[in-house]
Amino acid sequence: MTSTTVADPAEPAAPVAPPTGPSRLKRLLRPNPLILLALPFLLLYLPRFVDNTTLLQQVAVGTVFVMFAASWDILSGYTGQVNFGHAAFIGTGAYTVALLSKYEPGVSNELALLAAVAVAAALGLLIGVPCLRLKGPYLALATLSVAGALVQLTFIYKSQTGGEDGIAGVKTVVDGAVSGPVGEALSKLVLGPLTFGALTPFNQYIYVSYFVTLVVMLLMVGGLMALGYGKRGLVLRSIQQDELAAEAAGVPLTRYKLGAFVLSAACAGLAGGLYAQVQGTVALNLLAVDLSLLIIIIAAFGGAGSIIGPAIGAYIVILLQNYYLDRSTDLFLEHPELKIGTFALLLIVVLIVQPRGLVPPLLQKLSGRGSPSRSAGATMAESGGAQP
Amino acid sequence: MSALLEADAVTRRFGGLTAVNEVTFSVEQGAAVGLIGANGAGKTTLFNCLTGFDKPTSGDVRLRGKSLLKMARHKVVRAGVARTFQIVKPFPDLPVLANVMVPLIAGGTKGDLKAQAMAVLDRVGLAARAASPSSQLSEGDLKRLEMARALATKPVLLLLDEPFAGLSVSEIGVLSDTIRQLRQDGTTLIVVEHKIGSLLQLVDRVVAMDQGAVIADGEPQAVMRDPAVVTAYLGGGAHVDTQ
Amino acid sequence: MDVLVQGALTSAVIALVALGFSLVYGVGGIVNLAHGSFFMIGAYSAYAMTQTGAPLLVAAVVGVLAATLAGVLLERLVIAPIRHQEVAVLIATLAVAILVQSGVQFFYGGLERQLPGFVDGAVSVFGVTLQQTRVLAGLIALVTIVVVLLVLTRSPAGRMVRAVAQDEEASRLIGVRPERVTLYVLAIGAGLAGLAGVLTAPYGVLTPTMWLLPLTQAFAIVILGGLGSIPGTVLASVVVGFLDRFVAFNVKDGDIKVGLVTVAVILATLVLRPQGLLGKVAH
Repeated sequence: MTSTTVADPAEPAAPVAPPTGPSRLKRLLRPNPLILLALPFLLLYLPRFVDNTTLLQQVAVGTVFVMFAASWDILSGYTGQVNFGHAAFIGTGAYTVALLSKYEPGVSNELALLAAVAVAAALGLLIGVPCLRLKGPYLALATLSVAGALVQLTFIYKSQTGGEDGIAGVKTVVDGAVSGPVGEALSKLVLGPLTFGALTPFNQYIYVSYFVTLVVMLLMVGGLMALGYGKRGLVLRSIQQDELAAEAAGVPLTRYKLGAFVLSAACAGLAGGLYAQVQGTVALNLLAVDLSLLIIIIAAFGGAGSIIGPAIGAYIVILLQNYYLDRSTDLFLEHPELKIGTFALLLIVVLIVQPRGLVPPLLQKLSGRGSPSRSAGATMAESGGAQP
Repeated sequence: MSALLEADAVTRRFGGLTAVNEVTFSVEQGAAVGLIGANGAGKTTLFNCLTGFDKPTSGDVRLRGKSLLKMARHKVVRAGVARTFQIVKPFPDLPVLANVMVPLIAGGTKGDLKAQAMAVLDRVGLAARAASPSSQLSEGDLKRLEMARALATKPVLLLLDEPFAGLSVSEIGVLSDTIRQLRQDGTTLIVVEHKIGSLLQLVDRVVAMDQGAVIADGEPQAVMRDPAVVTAYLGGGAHVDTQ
Repeated sequence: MDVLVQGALTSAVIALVALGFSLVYGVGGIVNLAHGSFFMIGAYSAYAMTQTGAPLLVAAVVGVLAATLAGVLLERLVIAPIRHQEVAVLIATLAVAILVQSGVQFFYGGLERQLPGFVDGAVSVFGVTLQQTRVLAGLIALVTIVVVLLVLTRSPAGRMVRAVAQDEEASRLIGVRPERVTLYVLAIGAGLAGLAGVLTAPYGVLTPTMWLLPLTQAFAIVILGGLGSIPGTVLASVVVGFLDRFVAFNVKDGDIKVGLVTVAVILATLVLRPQGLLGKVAH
């Protein structure tokens, strides 16, 4: 009996859209190359064209948020274990760095970051294990609760953590053994050594922060993308699509799910720690629910399950929140809580109305299935065109 | 001759209900065994116990003499026991090729994964649909994909759960050919099926179950004529569904 | 003894929150991350009324009504359109919780507020001296819970609710409209949570982030008590309620540590006994 391809005369014509061939497969396994090359260059040379140091400072914050979003995505967008308390990992990293800076100033910046990664990863393991058997809503509640519990923990040790006021005077990236020189070198490269040398120390610190965060972000996002678009990323996705089927395919579920949790936590911890070193302070906002929601919003508008999508979303949202909204009306300046409130409201509206092409990709990715709509016809159509 | 798979007094209780009752049989390497029984006879439960998707309340399941009971599900698959699902479970948003690549990756396969995945798709006749999202496949193709995915785990023992359910006559024909080819290539098969006629053309041994226990085990025609089987499964009407 | 009595009272109040939360999930299949917001709305609305000089009873009633109204609005505007999309509901309700939090922060700032007690003076219960307010709160909570349970188990309305909880599609066949039932259950659940907020307000402080702890405790109760099990919910409420008071009294900085301990209990339960205390099926 031959085993060549057998034509099946009874096979029905392909429903709705014809298979689009190799391009579909490619898009799954490789991101848009244009963005991939253009974005880093754009970001690298931005300071050459933009003089506004306040704006650059916020772009640097955006860069850190790219890391927050990317680390969230490798877990929630890929394995479908949607984390509603990502701030827990971020804040853990940030506070680790801050506490080390406060109590053990002899510890180098780089070592502090390593510690941040380790502690955050440990937390990821601690939470990941009980959460293995949790599905959607329960996982959401659990992760939300953990972040809240960490806020309480911060209050309990108020004297060490500074409670509501947080910790100030964290050693900044400029003081770093590696980060300082790297940041400076890049600043001189882009701005020119004379221009950089002529700047005030504060402005120099802004440029150094800008480039250090950029370098770390490119490395992290690059690594996560290599993972996400590679073999392991495919396995992670399969877990999101159907855990039982993945097991039947021989996938060691626990190892992958837990691994994603720990990786996500470690990356978030690193980003959080770096953020502390860029801002020079840490406070409770890094553990708050608001931050967790903001990251979800970023992923929602950027497109979860692609790493690069949330990255773009991060810049847009952060620049909006920290720069442009402040300049629009005094209301936002005096009452910063209105900003997240406005975003929340927008998100709600978008989720209810669900304009085609905007939110469905996110929900599709997060719930691991085709269209959010129940009708089979829509499912066919949506999955035909909804790849990011 | 040592058996490939042994079920040893496998019992599975759910609270007060005994779904599988002291089932014992063994399957030799290279055999093709059919498992039949009315709905509720315990086939699926037994199936799940044999494949590591459920743990028996008592008894043992051994592959080449080694108990499968303590193994994690993915380890059972790695040991060489693969299964398909009665209601197909593809990875809906992944292309067909990717569906088959996952088990290859999980199994630590080296080399050109895409090519190896294509080879598996070729075996089941799905190579032409490699780039389609699996959500766009017909039922028959989805069954073939189930099988492709199971094959990609390089099993020594393949358990098929009602592979012909929901398929047209021609689709059954195509699938049967593929299954027969698998057998020729050396895979041992256990097939749960309701479509007796189609099943009998694939297997050389039939195990019949009723209310959790094995009521007949042996040569297909003999089992089909066994009065206990006729009463329990065919409802006394005594004619084999030849579809 | 002190802890015993206080624990009983606290359990009753906590059960109010948990019952609403559990019912909404059991009936509508919806996990409402903004459930704690009803609690907060109840408390802040009552506070706002006292600020205008209204008598406490009126303030309390307004608090409950405001929470109930919030529940109705949430169901009609946010949940109804996306009922069957689990992820969307989760994200949307979280966004609502943050929206409410922002609103409260905008109007009242981040500072803590306090509500005066309902009744002055202390009373002796089983030899324990308690604020009359607390006793009153506990009694009201207890009575409310009993009433709710009776309605659920005895009345035709309750039968409707349980029908939908068991099988939504089947209930449609006997003339029940699950969408309506979900609305009622959510509204009532919101009201119960609002009542809990009103009852708790006098002997606690109000902050814009006070919605998270009740949500966490409701979650702990659902995990401990097993999904959809009313007796489980009640039993678990007792456990969590006692735990709450035990930690508050016997541990240094107890008030703050409650949240932490609750989460630890949740995680431990998930690892050791995922089906909870009374649940039968592992989730």
